[in-house]
Amino acid sequence: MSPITEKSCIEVQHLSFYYLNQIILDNISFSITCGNYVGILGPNGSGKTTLLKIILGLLKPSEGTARVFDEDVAHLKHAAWIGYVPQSISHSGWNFPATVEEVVKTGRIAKIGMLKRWGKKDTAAVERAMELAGVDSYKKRLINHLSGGERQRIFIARALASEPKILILDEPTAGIDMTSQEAFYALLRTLNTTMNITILFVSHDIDVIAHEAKTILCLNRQLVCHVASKNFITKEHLEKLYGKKSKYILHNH
Amino acid sequence: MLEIFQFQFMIRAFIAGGVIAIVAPLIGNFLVVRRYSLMADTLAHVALAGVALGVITQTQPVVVAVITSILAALGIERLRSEKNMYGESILAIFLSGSLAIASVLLSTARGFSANLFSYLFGSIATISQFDVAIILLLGIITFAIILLLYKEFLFISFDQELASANGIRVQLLNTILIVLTAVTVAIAIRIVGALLIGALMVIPVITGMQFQRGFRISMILSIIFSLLSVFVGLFLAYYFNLASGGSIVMVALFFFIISLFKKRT
Repeated sequence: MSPITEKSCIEVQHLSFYYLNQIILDNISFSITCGNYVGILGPNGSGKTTLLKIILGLLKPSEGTARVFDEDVAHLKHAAWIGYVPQSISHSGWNFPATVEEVVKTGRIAKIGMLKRWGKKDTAAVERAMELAGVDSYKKRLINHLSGGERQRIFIARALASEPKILILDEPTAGIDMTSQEAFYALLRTLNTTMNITILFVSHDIDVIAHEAKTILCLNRQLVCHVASKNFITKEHLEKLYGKKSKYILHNH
Repeated sequence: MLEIFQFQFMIRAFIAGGVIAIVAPLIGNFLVVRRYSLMADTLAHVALAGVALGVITQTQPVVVAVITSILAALGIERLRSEKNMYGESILAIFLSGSLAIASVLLSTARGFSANLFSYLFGSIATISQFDVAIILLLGIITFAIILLLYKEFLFISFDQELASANGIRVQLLNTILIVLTAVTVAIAIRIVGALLIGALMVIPVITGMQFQRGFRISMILSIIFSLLSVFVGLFLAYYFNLASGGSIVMVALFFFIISLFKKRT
């Protein structure tokens, strides 16, 4: 349907990132086709969040390039086409005296542009985002009275308000109960399959990623694997990623 | 007509007070949620140094205060983003540093100490026609800019990182907000006084937030409480011969305490 379905949406080439003489990301190259659902796995400190921040244009790569929609992320004109869902648990702004609706609306602001006013289209997009994420039933409530799962859905709604083509999520289910998590993954599946939104998902939850995502990237400073999830051989890849100890992790599941 | 409005200086005080009562909490809402509350106090002390400079050079104190506090605001932002310093420490340096400059400047100016009290705590009798014109002009400009950039200011206040990732010009907006803070503080110094302007930018805001109705409605409520505080405060200052800043802030405090007892609906 969409003309860009088979094109690559995210293109990373020879990307390295150094911080205080430490290598955080080492010569990483991959490309992600539009409409893909990519899970990124990696231990703590493997550079997952750094990689996301580079793609979002929040950090500049030390070497190499990251391109989104065939444009360098440093001067990406379509920044508002990327929806970002940060770790809900780490966000410090939950005491902010705003309603759910006010927070969701902030996701639309970049798309409207400075000095321009809200139009009917914008209001409709926000309403739709709130319905999709299932927050419309509590949209007039203040965000500080909500549970972890409810808050997470606000962040999804906010990301959807800009009608993004790419959705980037950084461990979005941390600190959220199982029932909410299941509903959350179902929502991501819907967004990916029916709305053709490309999803980039960082998680610690190997089972879920292997089950939900179409493609898996394993990151440990270098790109350890880049495979279709059906070809993801848990033992082999996990040993590369986490070392021999990974056997231990598997027994627990 | 009330006796109070037969005096030109009282009419001037009400006009200037009304403008400040609207603009101060408008900015204050953004300062409070960004944990910048102390910024207003710091810039007020800088403005006081500006007033002292204006008195000594026999220029317009309000104009010099506006200029010095804008320069200080830009300096604070620069230090905060470029040097690796704690935000509060930078504020502390500017706050006490400018107070030191103000005291040195004022000790060289003879006969000013009598006037000092009015700059510290506000005074209704000393507002000139020129002051009112400046306050009106800058107040309206500030008001218009905040309304125009309201959605962007809200965005960077709630989530600066996402705003930046979305291509919002966060640095520019931060600078605009802080310059507007400097302007507001400097024009408010006449009515509310350097030591009390911070209170007018914070107390009505917190009062409005007690109603738990979201950011926009909190903002409207804070303006209503601020206007009430300024007008009631000015009446009290006139009839009981009080420092206007002190009486305004005490009325604002009264509303705040009442709001604490409000039942959550």
